[in-house]
Amino acid sequence: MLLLATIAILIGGIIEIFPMVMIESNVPRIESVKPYTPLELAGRDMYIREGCVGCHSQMVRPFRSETERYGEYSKSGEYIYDRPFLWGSKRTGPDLQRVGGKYPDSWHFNHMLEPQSISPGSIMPPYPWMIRDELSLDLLPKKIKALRTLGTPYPEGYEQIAIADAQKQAERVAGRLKKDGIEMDGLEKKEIIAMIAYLQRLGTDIKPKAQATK
Amino acid sequence: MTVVFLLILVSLVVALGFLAAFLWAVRSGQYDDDYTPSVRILFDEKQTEND
Amino acid sequence: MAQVEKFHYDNAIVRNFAYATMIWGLVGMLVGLIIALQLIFPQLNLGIAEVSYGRLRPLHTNAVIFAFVGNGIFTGVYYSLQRLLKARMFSKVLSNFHFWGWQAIIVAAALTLPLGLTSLHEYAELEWPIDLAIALVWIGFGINMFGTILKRRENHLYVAIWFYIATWVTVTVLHVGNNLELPVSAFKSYPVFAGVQDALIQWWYGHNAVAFFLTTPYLGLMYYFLPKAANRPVYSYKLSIIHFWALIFIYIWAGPHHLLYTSLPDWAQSLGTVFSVMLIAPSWGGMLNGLLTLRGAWDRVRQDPILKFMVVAVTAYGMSTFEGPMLSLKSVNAISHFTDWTIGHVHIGALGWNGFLTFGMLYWLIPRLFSTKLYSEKLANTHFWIGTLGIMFYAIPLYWAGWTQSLMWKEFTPDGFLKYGNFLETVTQILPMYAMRVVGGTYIWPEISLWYTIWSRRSAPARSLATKQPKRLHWLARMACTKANTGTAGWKEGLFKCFYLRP
Repeated sequence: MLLLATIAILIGGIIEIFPMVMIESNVPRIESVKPYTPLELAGRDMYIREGCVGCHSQMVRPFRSETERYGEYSKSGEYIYDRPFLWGSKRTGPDLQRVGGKYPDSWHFNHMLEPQSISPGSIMPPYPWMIRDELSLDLLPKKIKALRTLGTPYPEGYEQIAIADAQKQAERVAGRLKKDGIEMDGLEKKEIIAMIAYLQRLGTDIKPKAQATK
Repeated sequence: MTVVFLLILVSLVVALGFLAAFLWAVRSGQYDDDYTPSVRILFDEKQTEND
Repeated sequence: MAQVEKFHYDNAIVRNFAYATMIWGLVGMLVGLIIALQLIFPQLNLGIAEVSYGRLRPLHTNAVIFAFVGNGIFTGVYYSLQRLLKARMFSKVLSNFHFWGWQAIIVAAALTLPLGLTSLHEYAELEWPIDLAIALVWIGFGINMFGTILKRRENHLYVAIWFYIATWVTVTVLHVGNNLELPVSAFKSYPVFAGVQDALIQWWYGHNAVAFFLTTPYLGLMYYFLPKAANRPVYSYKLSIIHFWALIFIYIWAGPHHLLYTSLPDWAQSLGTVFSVMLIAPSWGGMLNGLLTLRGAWDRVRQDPILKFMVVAVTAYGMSTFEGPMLSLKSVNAISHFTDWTIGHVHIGALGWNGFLTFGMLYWLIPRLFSTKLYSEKLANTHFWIGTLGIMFYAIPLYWAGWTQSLMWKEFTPDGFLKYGNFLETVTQILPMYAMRVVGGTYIWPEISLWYTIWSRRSAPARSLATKQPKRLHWLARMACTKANTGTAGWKEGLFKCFYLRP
């Protein structure tokens, strides 16, 4: 039995090397699906940190009742840059796979601050710290590098401009919020900006026209 | 879907491992007696010491 | 010259794991109660990130699975393995390493999860440094177990041991497989696989974690502690052997049933369904084997709280292993998936099967560990009934909520529009059920009676031990001894007798 166990562990080791070799797997690619921008990635990691997946799925099943409610059903090719996957297993709140572009940025801002002010009777908890706390971008270069190692096609050297890129996008989001009347000191540096950027990106890759290539 | 084949491979190795264990158990006479072990577990010697 | 060989079982380690089971059980269930309340009163996160629902939910699942049930497994394994093999544990050092290592991991989990440090894979949320620690401790446990098996004095490996072996081997593979991550920093990592592939590996793990952490080890415990508590052999030993091998060969293929109707290739989904349905046979074979063990002894079940706990546990096992395959049928899954039906299902398993078997085992075990009698059958019976009511109050509202919400999601008006286009309507509809589920939290409180039973029980052996003068006495037993002696001679006298005179 000991021997068996050792074999089992060895196999674990082999799996570790395999994906490097076989990253070009036969998951159907969709041309329009692109890697997350650094800001969206930061937002996504925040989505992970807060455990949003405990209540929100990101998987529209191919039923009329679901496509009617959420939009186009999910394709495997949409998830190729999702590390980890965020399909979820429980919908206490609605699916978010197609939430991008559904509401204005300011809707998300107010909703995260106090969900009940937007949706009376909602049981979503408030997330005031996302509006209070400043977003840390320090890890971004390392994250970009790690993801490239795993197969996400960020160009060589992109990690050096990732932070600047994120800040630029953050300013755009903050600008849109200001236009909607949300005034706040250092708004573009807050965590909520990354969260909004991520939520608005969700599901938009294939919205115009899905084109399967392989 | 590389991972499907990996998982099948890993699961197969685990399953084959258990198959080997099963064959060992049968051949070494583990199951020659399929009644008394269930009775023997009921007899414990008296507790000697708590440490 | 024949000489009688002498050896002692290590009971201290069993006792430690038993205490840990009871402590973490209480903690894990309390966190569960808190998040159940947060689902009705969202403001209960008080605007504090560390106690918000999304961060506490994994703490609840991890605490209950790995801390409560995990320590429960180890309690039962360390007790039964030594006796089944007629050998002391292979290494005291490894036993202690296993115990303290496991508790340290739990504490690390309780600190990191509220901080939002998570790799997110369900039931494998802990970040990579803790994953490594788990692997280390688990291997320590493995060496200890296999070492004991190798030096055994009993040739036959009782079926329970096979269940323990399968648990160890498979959990090792699962843990490695689902935690292949590339570290970014000390507490952040990305999984090697992405998207669909990541999903498949997660649910290969997720399903088999239920199979090999919540089911097989507990089946081992059932095959040991149920016959012991009933004082009669298992109904059919042959059936138990078939149960084991059939279960092992079928279980590992059923994982994809968690991903029906998703973007996973269809053939993989179908494979998962087929094996899930096949699982009914060995599972029900095992359940019947457990229940039939009590044939002709049902009058004792009426009296004995321990047997009562075990009967309900085995019945819950039967219920959830029937429901599981049903949920993996595509047509049923289309309704159940993403709803509270799943939550109800897992709690029948966790509260009924794992929880009640643990309680039954502990009520049987503790008097033996302290060489005494059960302090109060009445208290244990009360625990049983309140616990059973707790399960009912938890599960029934959630089944109801699941069905209600799913049907509302799918309802169309005659004109072809969604009848409940606003998702929120389907949530407010089931809030009363969520409130009733909180009442199911009564399941938690009688666990305190287990503590009281232990405390009171400890005073009984202390009294008798005071006259017998054993070499060493556990400090808790000394304190209990003090309590016992205080009544007759005052507390100073009690302390003096129990601590200074080394009773």
